[in-house]
Amino acid sequence: MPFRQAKWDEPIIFEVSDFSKQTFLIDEEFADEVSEALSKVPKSLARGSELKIPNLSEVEVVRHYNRLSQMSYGVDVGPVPLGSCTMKYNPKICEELASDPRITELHPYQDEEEVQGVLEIMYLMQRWLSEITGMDECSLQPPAGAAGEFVGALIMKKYHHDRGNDNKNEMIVPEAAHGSNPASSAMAGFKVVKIPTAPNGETDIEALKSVLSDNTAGLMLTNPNTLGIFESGIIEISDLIHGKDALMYYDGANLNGILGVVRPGDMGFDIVHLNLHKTFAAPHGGGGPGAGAVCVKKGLVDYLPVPIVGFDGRSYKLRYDLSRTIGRVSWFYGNVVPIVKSFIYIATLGPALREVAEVSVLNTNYLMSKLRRLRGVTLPYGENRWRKHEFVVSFENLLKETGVSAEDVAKALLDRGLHAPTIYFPLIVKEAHMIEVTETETKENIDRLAKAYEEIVELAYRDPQAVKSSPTNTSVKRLDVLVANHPKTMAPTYEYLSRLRAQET
Amino acid sequence: MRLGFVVNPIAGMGGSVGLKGTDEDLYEEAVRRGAKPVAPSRAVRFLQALAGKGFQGIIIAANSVMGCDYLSSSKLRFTCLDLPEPGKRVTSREDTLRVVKAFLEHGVDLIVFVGGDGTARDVLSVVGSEVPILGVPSGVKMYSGVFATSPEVAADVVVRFEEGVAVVDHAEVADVDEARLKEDLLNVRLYGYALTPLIEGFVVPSKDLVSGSEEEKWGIAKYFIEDYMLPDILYFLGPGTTTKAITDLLGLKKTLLGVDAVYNGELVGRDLSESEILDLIRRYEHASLVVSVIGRQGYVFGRGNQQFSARVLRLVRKDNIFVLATPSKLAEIKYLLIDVGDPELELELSGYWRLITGYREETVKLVLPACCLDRFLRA
Repeated sequence: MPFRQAKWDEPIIFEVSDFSKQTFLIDEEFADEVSEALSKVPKSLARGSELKIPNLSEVEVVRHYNRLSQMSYGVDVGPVPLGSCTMKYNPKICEELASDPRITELHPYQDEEEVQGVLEIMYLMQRWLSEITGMDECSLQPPAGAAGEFVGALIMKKYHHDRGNDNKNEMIVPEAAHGSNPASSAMAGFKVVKIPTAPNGETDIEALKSVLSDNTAGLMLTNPNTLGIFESGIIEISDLIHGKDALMYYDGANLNGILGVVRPGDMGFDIVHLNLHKTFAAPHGGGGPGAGAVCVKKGLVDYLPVPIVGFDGRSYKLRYDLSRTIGRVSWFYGNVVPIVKSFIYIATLGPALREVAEVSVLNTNYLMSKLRRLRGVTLPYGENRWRKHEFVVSFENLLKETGVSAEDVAKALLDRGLHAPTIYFPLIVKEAHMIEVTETETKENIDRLAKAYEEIVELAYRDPQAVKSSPTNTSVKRLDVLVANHPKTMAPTYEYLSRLRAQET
Repeated sequence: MRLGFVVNPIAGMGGSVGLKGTDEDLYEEAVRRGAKPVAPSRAVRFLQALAGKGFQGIIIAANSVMGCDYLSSSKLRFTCLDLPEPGKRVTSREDTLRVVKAFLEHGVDLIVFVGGDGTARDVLSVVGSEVPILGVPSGVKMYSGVFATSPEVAADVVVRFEEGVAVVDHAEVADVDEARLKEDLLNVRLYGYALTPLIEGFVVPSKDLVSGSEEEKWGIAKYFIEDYMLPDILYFLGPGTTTKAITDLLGLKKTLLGVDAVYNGELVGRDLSESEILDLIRRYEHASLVVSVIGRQGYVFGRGNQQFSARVLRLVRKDNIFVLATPSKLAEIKYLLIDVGDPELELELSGYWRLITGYREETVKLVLPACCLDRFLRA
């Protein structure tokens, strides 16, 4: 399928046209009302200068954003196989229902009796997520995945403190873990102790044993891990951690490999966070906001962030009465809209939720079996094992033999109308592509992706420079990574951009 | 910018014919066994990538097979030195030394050499820390930390350096004694520290290039001082820039290549020998060793810090040994090694060690005995 992305020289919205237009006609009566209201604003509080916001006609606004969207790419355009990001399709029914005025026009200060509907949704979500994870209670407060991790680490901290175990100051984290795990631990005040991955792709249990001590506060683990491999020693690991009076934390950013098949609670985990925007199909990656529910076992329920939603058999209520709560971590109800979208996603699938995991695992291994056969490609760690929600291949040999790197291959995928996977992660795999197609992609699409890889690798051996000069079919060509990532080159506001430009001239 | 460019045309030839290098008399043996040159194609790849990335500077190149031959068809701006003498096809280390001296006289900002550890040593012996150097990998052995991972990455680093976004940091120059290697004795020596350009904050794909950024070292040193440095304990600090960061923070002047001793915030020994270390251990009640990982092969003991002999290690014992390593260095290394010529002790010390790898961050790494590596790697 040939691919050419649109290329508009689209200015930023402040510079689309001059500031003289307006979107709607305003009748005189309304204009009078506004100027009367304005006249009541004390002079000392009134803005002296003109407000610098774009004044455009409706058609200019619509065209501007449509042009930008033509230069963009997302799951509604094609596959986004970003490993560990779980970029699945966001069903439109979820969008539609979450946009219902009965959701969007709720006010956070409304009396609880008037918002029983949304409270019921939240209550049911707490129950369903507890059931899915094998936990006893959930809080929907954390507004993002890493916020959920941080909450989990804070719960651990307070739990140990309450038991007089302030010496428990070490969090064990596998080196292949999501990068936010050590960060969340450090923010909660723990020392981070990293343990290696064994050649079979699982946590090195002997290394784990070597660091266990009375100072161990807990272990943060993703299972299946970032290599997509299920930790077969998980029960032994739980026993070891619990044997030191420490807690097991499950990074449930992505449940796509186990949904409805196994539960973290049954593996021995005490705390779980879930990225609702990943497994449960709320949009993310620029389409957010996300939501990072945290679920815990019985002994830890009182530590959850408040409020959670309770039900007394008659009505739903926001509960603030958890005796050991770590406090508030968000505003009002948390991020309600993604919670509602995920609620609809689960409700529409019902018992078929398990198929999400089954199809994603099948898709993963189908694609993996095609890619690992390619020249210059290897499958490090646990070569003979199946993967779950994702897999990681290495282009180290390709780089050695042709000078074409994992990054070059990723750029060449863009040229073929495909989004690149996650690259250079986890750090234990060199020249890594971490690939996750989720249950969303059809066999035809996966074949297309595999075909693209095959062509690129073949081209790398024939004409490496051709691969290294991609992408050429996209609206933005290859960026200088260093410049593009450098804080000094980024302008978060128009005001700042103007200052940057002034400096340049 | 002025870039000095020198190729060791025979570097790496031994590899394909089962030799461990091409130093001295090994070259003729390599030719006899039918070895083909490796360095020229590496040099061409580097120069092509450099041109492709829009390098603006001028290249001061060695003559003929040591440089200019590979530049003649390129679009890069260059001038040729008259060294080595025109017509000379087989070059030696003396040629390298003379070329590098000429670079210094011409005032270059950076020297790129195509070669291996031997070449790195030769270049370092002339430049010291006057000018940063960068290796395009073409050797059989590359234990030194001055090599980019590929010719293309080397070109990337040079362009960054030209743009002024690369930082310059110390990296080890190490080499194996090839004569002893023929007898199957691996003896890696640390020859010194060269300045080399590194790119910080370059997340992908060149994180390979980031080697022990300053910030990582400061974090490790600060954490060590805060959490592990106790009063009334004698600390022996091994060679390297990571251990030196500790004394820098304490406001002490440590030798870079030697073993120094610190007690209650004071320097009580500099550039110590094995017997001086043993002597100090006897005089002070409690002693600890602080070492960093040496070289790309991951030696904790036995490379560059031979003063920490088996006798010293037996006296100090494992609980009092601290290993520091920056994550960027560790990323390259699968397991660490101890080589102190005492198999019994090496076996006793091997196992999982906790390394200090950042501020309040530790990493578990497997430490193996150099004596009996086969036994572990097969298992």
